[in-house]
Amino acid sequence: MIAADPGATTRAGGASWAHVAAAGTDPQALAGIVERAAADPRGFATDWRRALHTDDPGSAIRAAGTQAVLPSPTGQRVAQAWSEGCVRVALAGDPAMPERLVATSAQPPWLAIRGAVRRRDTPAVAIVGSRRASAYGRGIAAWLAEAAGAAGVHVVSGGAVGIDAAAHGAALDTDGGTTVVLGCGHDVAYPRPHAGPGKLFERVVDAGGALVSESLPHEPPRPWRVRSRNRLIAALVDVVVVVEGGSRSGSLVTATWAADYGITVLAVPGDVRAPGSGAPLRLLRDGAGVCGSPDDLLAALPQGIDRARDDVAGGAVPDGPATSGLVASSLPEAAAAVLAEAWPRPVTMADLAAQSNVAAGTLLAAITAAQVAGQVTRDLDGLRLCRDPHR
Amino acid sequence: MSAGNSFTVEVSAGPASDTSSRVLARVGAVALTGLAGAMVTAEAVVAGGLPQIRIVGLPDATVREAADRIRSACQQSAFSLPGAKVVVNLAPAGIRKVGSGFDLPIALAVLCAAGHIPPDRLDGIVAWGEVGLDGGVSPSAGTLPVATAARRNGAGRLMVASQALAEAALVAGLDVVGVDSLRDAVAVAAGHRSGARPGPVAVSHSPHGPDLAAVRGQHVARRCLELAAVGGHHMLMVGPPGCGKSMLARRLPSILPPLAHEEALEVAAIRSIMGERVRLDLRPPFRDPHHATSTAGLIGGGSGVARPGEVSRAHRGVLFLDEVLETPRATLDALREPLETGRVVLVRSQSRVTYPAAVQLVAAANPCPCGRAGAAGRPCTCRPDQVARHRSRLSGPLLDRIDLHLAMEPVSQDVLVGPSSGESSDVVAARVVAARALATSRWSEFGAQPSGPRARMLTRDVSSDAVRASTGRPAQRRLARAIEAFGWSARAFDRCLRVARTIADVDGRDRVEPADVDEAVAHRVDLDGPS
Amino acid sequence: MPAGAGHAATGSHGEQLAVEHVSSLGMEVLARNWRISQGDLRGELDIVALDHLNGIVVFVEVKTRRGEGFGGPLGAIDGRKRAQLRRLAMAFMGQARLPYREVRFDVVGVRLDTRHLHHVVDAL
Repeated sequence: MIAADPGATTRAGGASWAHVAAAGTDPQALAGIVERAAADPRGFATDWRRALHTDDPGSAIRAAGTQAVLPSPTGQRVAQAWSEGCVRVALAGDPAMPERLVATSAQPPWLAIRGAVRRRDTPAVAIVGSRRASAYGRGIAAWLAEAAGAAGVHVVSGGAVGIDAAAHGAALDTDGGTTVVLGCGHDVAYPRPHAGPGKLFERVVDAGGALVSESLPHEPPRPWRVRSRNRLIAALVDVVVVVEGGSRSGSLVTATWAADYGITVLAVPGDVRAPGSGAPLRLLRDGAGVCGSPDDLLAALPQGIDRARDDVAGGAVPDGPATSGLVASSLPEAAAAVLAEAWPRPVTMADLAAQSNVAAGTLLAAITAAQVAGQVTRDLDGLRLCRDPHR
Repeated sequence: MSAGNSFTVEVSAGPASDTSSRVLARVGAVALTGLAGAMVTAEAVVAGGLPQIRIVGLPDATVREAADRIRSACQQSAFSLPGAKVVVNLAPAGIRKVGSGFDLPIALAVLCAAGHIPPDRLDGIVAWGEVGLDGGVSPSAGTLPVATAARRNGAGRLMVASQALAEAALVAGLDVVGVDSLRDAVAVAAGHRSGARPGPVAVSHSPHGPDLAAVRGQHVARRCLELAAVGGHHMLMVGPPGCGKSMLARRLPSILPPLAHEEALEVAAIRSIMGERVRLDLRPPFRDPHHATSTAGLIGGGSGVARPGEVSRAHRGVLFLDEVLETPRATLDALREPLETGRVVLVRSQSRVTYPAAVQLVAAANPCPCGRAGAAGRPCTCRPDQVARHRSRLSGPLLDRIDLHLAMEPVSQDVLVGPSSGESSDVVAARVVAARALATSRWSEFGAQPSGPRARMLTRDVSSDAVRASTGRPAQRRLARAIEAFGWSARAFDRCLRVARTIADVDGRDRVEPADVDEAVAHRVDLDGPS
Repeated sequence: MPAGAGHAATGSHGEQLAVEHVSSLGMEVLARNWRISQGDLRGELDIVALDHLNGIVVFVEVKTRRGEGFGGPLGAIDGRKRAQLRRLAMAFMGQARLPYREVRFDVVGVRLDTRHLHHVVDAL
């Protein structure tokens, strides 16, 4: 074992490691650990497993790390990638490592964070499901996420297309905010639709949320990494809701871990014939709780949260029938009413035109205005109000 | 001696015979390259040598075979041929001569050289037709472009088969006469008979086929179709099978304005060289080739003389490509030139043929490989990466030229069984005519030069500058903001602006309002998934 | 029959057929085998006839053959022969008093084997 010259480490890659280390994390120790992990992944993994059995895994892994190799080009590239991606890395045991993780076996040796993680006492839920999601599933996920966020609850999910994306998209603008737990490194553009400029991940960070990863920046998504990520998700939250998934969906892994950690698991019932109801049905049979509305979700939180009251219009929002006018002021009343009635199901453009009796040209123009104003979303499944009209 | 009774006697003119057999017989003809006709002179002279008819001047196989046809026809018609070689030159010798239409002018020249027609009677005559072994004259493909070329070059008279008379008569200002046989042709040339004359030109406006009234509900789709008709915009329909994409596309011709006379002639000319029955029809054509059609079948080509493809047969009308994503990329790429320039140029080693192809494109595609994404009540079974790959194929050099997108869904049951509230084609067509007139007069005033020589003054084709000049700054600013909000590329700006211009035209307005821009944006579907 | 005699017989048979044919066309036969021998000019015209319909003096050269050899009857008249025919014709016109000035040279080829008589009008 060649002891690394501490001066050398700091000088050679010192500037970048110092940028990359999170507040309270020793850049040198970080460099040592990362170099070790990059150079000898298997050996490092063994070291970490051993370290986890000790009382203070953080110190144990640091000890393993400083028996390090010399600074390598790989290490430099890693530091560079993280630095350019505005990523901060916290080691196990550091103040920046989310406290929820510290207590569990899900804690990774380091966590690369882009954005800001929430404080420990913020209530958090995981809204998960499969990538092959139906319009129903996506709508439910958005509904739950938006309501949770409005109530100040933090929404965590895996950043995949489908259910995860619907949840992140609905939560990112709310008080509660959202965190994406990646199943790959920060430098990997996966999933492609989310990773580009102006796409979901960037919007999450812009809105004050976070992207976290336990992988090196260049590491691609692999099934075992994705499973590990699911475990991380479960460890970060108080409740896990499985919205939709096939009978072999990864969301079942998340639910299993949650059960291990003693965390409540809820499932959303769906069309019993649809393939996407496989996972929820199985969970419900195994004793998971039913989630049929945001109220169910919030009630499951240990912190006892109520649905938030929203004064979007500057005045009290009355209970009762859908207040479509407030949530979609750019649309003609009749059209907004149709969308509110159907919410959270999407309404196809053709049906909206037929049911609202608004002339096609006028309706189309109003839809665009409503989209630009963020009141309505549109995809090939149809149109949907962004906000819950029943609040 | 009465042995002479058993002798066969033959009398023929010798080579030194009277001046008519020494002179060069000349008859006019036309060599077609695509639709373009070049004037040709069939010259004939009796030369020395064994009796035969020899044709020179780059004749193709069919024209060379004319010698046999004509010899037999002359025998059957009891016209004696010289006992020596007759040489026929089709001048200018550098142009290829193709087709059976050269039979008649060659026969007339030979008969004139043989002394059966006084040469001055053939001055200014252009002929076109096939000669049968029995001496009959029948129509040959391409009569209409031949007549057009003859007229343009100041021919005095065009002689064609009687059955082709109506077609030739479509060209105004040309003296046309029809003949049934060689004897007829000689008699007409010599002035002994007047020949068949054309009747009044019949212009038809064929019934528009499927009517828009049969489409139930689908108000957004109808609106989109109307905009497409007014501005000539190309259209892409995305939707699951059975939601009515094909049904809607077939109804576009029923709301398009009738063709102008010259345009109908262009369409007729293409039918003519395909050898089909030709009539003057003001209804825009509609072609829907199968997606497995070869590239040559779609844009034209084939061995020998390049024939027009589907895109030319849809000239001045609608080309409907169903299942456009099943069409090979190379074939779609080949469509870019006609969509851009309004014509197809087919280059060969020997020739370069241009066919008109100013078409309006309607393309249809499924939203995902299994076809069910978006179909209410039935889940899509595709993997997300399959869907992403499928959607990415919806963009590309061809499909980016499309201004209007329509996401179609199956109409819900209650609308299907309710009373039909849809307007009929006639009602919509009247609006389209009015809006189109407004647009056309504006572009003429602008002096807007559309791309390509055959493109009309359609909002689809006029220059970007003209479109921008005709819409105010506020509308353009609003469009730019919307495009930025949706994260679209700058390409989308030009497309949406044209649609906004058409929307204002449909409303009879010169000013483009912000609401027009909003609607135009809504006619563009973000094909990458949820927005 | 000796060859020479056969040849002469062939020739006269053909000529006779030619004369009958020319008459049948409505022409008036003026002379047969007209000979001249004056200084350089020496030769014979087979038939001289008048085409009253067109007002032409027609000089008919007759060639008889039994077969296809030598290019058939019509192949027998070369350039030198043509020139001589014209000189002979001019001489005839000078001697005879004829109502017409226009002349024409025809050739009649007779194939005795195929029994075919081919009259080429205005052949030279």
